[in-house]
Amino acid sequence: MSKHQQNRVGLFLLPLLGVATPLSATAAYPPNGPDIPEITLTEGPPRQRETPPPPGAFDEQSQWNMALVGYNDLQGRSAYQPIIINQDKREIAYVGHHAGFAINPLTGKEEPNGTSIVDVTDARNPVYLAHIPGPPGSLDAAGAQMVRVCSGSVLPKAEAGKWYLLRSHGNAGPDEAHEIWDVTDPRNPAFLTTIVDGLSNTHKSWWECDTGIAYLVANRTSDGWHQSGSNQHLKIYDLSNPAKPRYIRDFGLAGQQPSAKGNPPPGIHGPISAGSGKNRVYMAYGVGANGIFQIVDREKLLNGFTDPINPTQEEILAPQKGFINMSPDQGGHSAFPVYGLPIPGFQDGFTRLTRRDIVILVSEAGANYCIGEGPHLAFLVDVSNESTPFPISTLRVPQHPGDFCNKGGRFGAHAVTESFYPPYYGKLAIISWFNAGTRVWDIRDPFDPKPVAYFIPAPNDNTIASCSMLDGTRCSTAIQTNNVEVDDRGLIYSADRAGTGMHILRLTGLARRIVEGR
Amino acid sequence: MGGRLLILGAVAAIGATGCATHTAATLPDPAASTTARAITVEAISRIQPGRSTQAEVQAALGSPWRRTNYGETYCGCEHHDLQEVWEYRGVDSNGNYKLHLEFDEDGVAQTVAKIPGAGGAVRVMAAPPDDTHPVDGAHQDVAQNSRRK
Repeated sequence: MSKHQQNRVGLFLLPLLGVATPLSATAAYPPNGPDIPEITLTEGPPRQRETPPPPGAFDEQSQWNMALVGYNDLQGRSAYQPIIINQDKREIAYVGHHAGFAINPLTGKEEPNGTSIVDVTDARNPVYLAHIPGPPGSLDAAGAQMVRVCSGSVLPKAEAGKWYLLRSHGNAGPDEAHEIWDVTDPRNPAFLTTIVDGLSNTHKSWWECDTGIAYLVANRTSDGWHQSGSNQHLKIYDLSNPAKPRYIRDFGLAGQQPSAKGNPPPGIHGPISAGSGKNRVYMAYGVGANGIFQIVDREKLLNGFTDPINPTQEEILAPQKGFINMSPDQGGHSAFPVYGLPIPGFQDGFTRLTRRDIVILVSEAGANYCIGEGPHLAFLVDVSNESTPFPISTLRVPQHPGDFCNKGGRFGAHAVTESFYPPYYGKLAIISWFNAGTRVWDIRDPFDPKPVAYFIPAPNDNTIASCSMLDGTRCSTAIQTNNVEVDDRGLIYSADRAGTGMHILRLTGLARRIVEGR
Repeated sequence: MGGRLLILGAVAAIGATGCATHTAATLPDPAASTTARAITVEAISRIQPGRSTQAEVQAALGSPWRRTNYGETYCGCEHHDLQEVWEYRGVDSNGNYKLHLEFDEDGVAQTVAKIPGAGGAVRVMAAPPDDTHPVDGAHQDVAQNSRRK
């Protein structure tokens, strides 16, 4: 039995009363193992279209088939990415922050934004445990947007019983890094090591806990990689022993490698690995414009090269199983795979392609008040034939009702949840939509997705106003749901870019019946 | 509507169709901060949108209560709005407010706005502030500064 099999991350049943009762499980899903949740057909109520109710006023909390369970202010820091870890039978939220400075009430000192650690075991009463500061000095250099956490009992060469945090160190400066912290005692995190420094443009990375392979997003000018748009590519490391990082290679789209000539394609925003079982890594490039989505063979990615920093054109193309160019107004922000989705209506009569592999592909809105850009959307892409990915439907939030373009801040898609949480897998797509909050779709028929839930927090005294100068100066205090994530109890966490805090949500009504299968 | 402080109720019991709201903990008061100080109308009047540098702002107002930089100037990502925000907390005859400043890539204040803490109109200042003449616009936002990025 492998190490990761001996140390399964617990799976919890969907909570009946908002907070879960844990049950043991026998499968380990990415990033903790190679298994993929199996999706069965026709679970839940008949697919039906409920009309989403209009949201309330801009200063009101609004919800539909979702309810607020708990809240933490995250010290008012602009939040980027939350991840929730079942850590020794406690539920711990780790939240990465954009650059900034704010007072840490635990220390009474102003600290550069870094990583918030919050005990959400009692989701109704989260407890802020610690803030790991970001880089000191210039605001330009601060911030630590990305965070991933692995168990030392799952990592192949780590110390069993310990917990390790991977984060970017700085997100807007010339000397950024990726680093590892020991968070075994989440109230007292301890710095362990710097994986790589001298970077720029760090962003949303992925860490396979069962293998230790980490796909780090960054750039280093001296390496000579080329990008347009978002200036970053992948630096891949073996962190199976987090104390002793081992460099593997750099990677990006063909045309980005140092030896390439001509106009380079956009840089990567973030990869998601489906692990060694599926042997695939899904990569979204371009962030909010000129997007490219790419499917990569993991084994070839990790082994098929001679010069790790300067691959040949053949070597950089070898792992590519397929790609699709998005329209110029859409970028690749995140791409989450859903394997083996049984399609209602395809099951009788047809003898093949009755199940499809799809990817939830999300662009990122980038303008306050929608000025200067079109709507940014999410797409369900059929990747059953990997060499020809094909979009089959669109997930969108209309401007009305809600008048979101006049609400303030950004309105549009941003990020999809990245958890392979079985009760939701293949049933729901949960996506952050900036000032339209957390949005949930029923994707049981990916050719005809239906909105089933939303939650829009109210702005509060910590909410940072958003302004625009593109069409006369306007400012508004609007929430900006940046990223959403799911824990292993089915609770949904919404982190706010505008400093509003973190809202802990649960499903109700139709959305809940879909995942409960009743 | 934008720019309004919400007084949210305490956590409600979670029912089957429950709807809860939470009180957002207000961050430490500037009076308790070692890096912030009370700001005055006279100090605010020294901030000139389009001209005042970060050093000049800090000299006039002290260290901000909170600073944020979304960082997208550096990543090369497509973005449309200013990335660096400084905020101060203040009190005037209408109650608490936040002074909100946005800086361009050269560190020059381009947007200065007064964000009311209790539902008043957001005021964007193209010139030194006038406490007596808030201007309402659509959704309580004001477009006084026609400067384009």
